[in-house]
Amino acid sequence: MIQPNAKLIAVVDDDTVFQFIAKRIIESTARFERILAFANGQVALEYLQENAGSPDMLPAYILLDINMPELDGFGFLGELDKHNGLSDVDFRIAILSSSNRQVDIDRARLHKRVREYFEKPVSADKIDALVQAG
Amino acid sequence: MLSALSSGQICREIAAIIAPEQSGSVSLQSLLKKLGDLLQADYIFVGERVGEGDMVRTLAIYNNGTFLDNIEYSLRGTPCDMVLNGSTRTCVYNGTVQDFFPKDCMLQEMGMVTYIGTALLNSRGEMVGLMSMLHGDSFTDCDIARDIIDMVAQRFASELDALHHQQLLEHTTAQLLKSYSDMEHFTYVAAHDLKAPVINIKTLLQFLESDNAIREDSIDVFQQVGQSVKSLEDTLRSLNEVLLVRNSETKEWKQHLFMDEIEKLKQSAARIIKDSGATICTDFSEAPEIWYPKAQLQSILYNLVSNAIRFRHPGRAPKITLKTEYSNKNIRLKVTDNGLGIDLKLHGSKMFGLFRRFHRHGSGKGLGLYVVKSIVESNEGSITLESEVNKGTTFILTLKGQ
Repeated sequence: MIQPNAKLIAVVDDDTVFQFIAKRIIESTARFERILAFANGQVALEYLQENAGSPDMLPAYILLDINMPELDGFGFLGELDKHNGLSDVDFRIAILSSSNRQVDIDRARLHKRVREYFEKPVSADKIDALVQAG
Repeated sequence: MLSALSSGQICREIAAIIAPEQSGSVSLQSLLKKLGDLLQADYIFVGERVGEGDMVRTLAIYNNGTFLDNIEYSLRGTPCDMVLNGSTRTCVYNGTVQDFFPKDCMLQEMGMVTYIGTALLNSRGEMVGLMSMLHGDSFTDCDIARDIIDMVAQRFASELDALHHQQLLEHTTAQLLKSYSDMEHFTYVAAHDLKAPVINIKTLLQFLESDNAIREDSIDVFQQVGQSVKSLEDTLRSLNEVLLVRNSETKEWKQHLFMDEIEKLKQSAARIIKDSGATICTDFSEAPEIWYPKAQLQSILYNLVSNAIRFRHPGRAPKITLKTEYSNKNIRLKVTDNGLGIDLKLHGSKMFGLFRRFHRHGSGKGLGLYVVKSIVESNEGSITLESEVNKGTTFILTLKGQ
């Protein structure tokens, strides 16, 4: 397993207001040096692919929305596994969705990289839980 | 051929065709078979007008003991055109049909020389189709055949009518089901898509509060904004609850002790119980248990109890009594309160509607009883109520036991 940068966290969500909120909450935890924000799964995936060779540029934690244009949360998880340089990077992912549908929760739990499933809103406690989930 | 039968036999055969069926519906095919066999027709078929009325689509073609695949054909140049667009409803060409319709290739290919066709009228008197028989020889008793066809035509016409009604009904049902599922999908999307921005606003308000960003003289405005957001959030939560309850995939059937469920309820509703000074009395001695979907049972109890507290009488502390008993194989749950009560003569039929509220005070969204009714009915149960203004209300639920 390749260890990505534990001081980096990414927010993947098409809602810019949510991104604003998430950044502020993440800053309040003082756990990270830098926050990456991506508008959907595709943009996030492109960044990760470009930086696949440099683990220091890869975020150890990803807050992932489910419903997004272009590439949604589940699509993004699938692509991570397919990509050669990324499939063995130890990303720790928390789904952060406004959906509380059991089908979404069950589907997310099937994925080994998904450590937590949170219903929005995001909070410092939820980010702490992701980091401590190990 | 027909002359080989006595007139009595012919009458009995006809009676068998035109008699209304004893049970269930007889298919068009079986009627056609009876008639074809009686007339010893080489081909006999029933068709309906389609397109601009210049085409016919067959509904059944019977050919010496077997049914052929249905076809669609143009009326142009055929004897059927005379039936549907000519001046007589029944047309007979005994041995001469090829002479009259030299352009009808099918007649020649099949070697048919005799044609008897009659128009079929629907209940509004419109010519909606026809029944025709074809024969390779001339009929010696053509008039009898023609009379028989005339006699039974109405029977076929009503069969055709019934078929149309059935198609119309199926079409309407399909449309209704589709608009229902569209509606449900729309509700889901609306409830879901509204949730994200409402949660955002709520969080942003918390930021403003923790930043002390609100000026002293605007605090009341700020609080009202907070109230509105909370109320929006509550409505969305209830809407989502309705959708969740309707969704059968979330059902998890279990055996529950009513007493346990009430204890859980007392915890989850601790605040409203304490604030209102409500007492909850229970008597589950007759029927202590029930087999029911877990989340749904909790939702029923929560909604009924919180409803009773919400519409309490201002002059007395709320007292809610829950009692269960067996009723045949079902379980009857009675929830009685001493609250405001309601005039059922005025509001009875609307009690369980969506977003219905009947009292000015109280903070209801008008969803609680709708949720309860949805759950109970989706599990083949029923709910009724008795109420008296200023005395109280009793909800009586019959829950289908397993």
